[in-house]
Amino acid sequence: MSMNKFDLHNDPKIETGFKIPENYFERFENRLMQQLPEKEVRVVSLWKKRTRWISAVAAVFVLGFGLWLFNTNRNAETETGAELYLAYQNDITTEDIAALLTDEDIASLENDLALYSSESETYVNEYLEQ
Amino acid sequence: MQDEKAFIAELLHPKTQQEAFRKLVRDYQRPLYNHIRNIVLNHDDTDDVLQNTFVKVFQNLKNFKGESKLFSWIYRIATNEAITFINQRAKKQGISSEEVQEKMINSLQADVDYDGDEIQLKLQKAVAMLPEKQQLVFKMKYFEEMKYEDMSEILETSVGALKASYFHAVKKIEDFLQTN
Repeated sequence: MSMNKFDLHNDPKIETGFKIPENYFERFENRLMQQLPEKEVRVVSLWKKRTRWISAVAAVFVLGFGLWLFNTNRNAETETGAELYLAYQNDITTEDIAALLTDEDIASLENDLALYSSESETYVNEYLEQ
Repeated sequence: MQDEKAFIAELLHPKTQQEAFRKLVRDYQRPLYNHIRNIVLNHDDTDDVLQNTFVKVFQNLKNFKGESKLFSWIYRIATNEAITFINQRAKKQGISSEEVQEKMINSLQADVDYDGDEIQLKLQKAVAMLPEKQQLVFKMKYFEEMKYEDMSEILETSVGALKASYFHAVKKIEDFLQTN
């Protein structure tokens, strides 16, 4: 290398000067392989995948509720009408309704609700594990 | 090319994926390490970027279309990851990426993983003063001794433009070394 004229191509190569810790690559390979997901993780939005299904169910509900309301209005004396009346009467509390039910009725209701919630939870968990 | 197709198929097949990917890591870790280290300078940062690069490669293999060589695709991911790393650090510290580089160069001397002598350090300083693209071209050509054709695929720039960039870079670096 001349003292006052640098010529990168004809002078001896100037190395980077970087050092790499000993056994770095051997360790790196194993470290990295452990980090990789076991199998490809599919990221599918729960909402996106179920949109069509949810829309269909919603449509059935809307239609059903509409028909029910239609029938109810036509005949307020029917049982459905009475139920609607109860549902929209704010001064009738849940306790009032519960007072009319037997203990057996309440136990059966609670049982149904518990079953429903645990079932739906299992379903969601299964879905998430897919 | 046929070999590469078969290797990519192995990388995508669940049964052969792990072993094929291990081979990919073994083949690429050293050259990619050097490539990233030349950009981010510090060993620990290089380690982070190298890991991210391989994880990205793994996650995106299914999207690899084979339009370019696997080699250039992987290098492109590594280059992007390294540059993104510097830009993110700049954003975090509220300074420009040039200032981040200046800081990185200044901390080289105290770095336990750096044992460059005076001229080696001076060369690093000279390179850091170049525009980003020229830096990259110089590092890949001079330090990594890469062929222009390969650089052209990685950087998606014509060989002619790369040669011109390298020529300008060398000229500026030689001038810097002369006067400093």
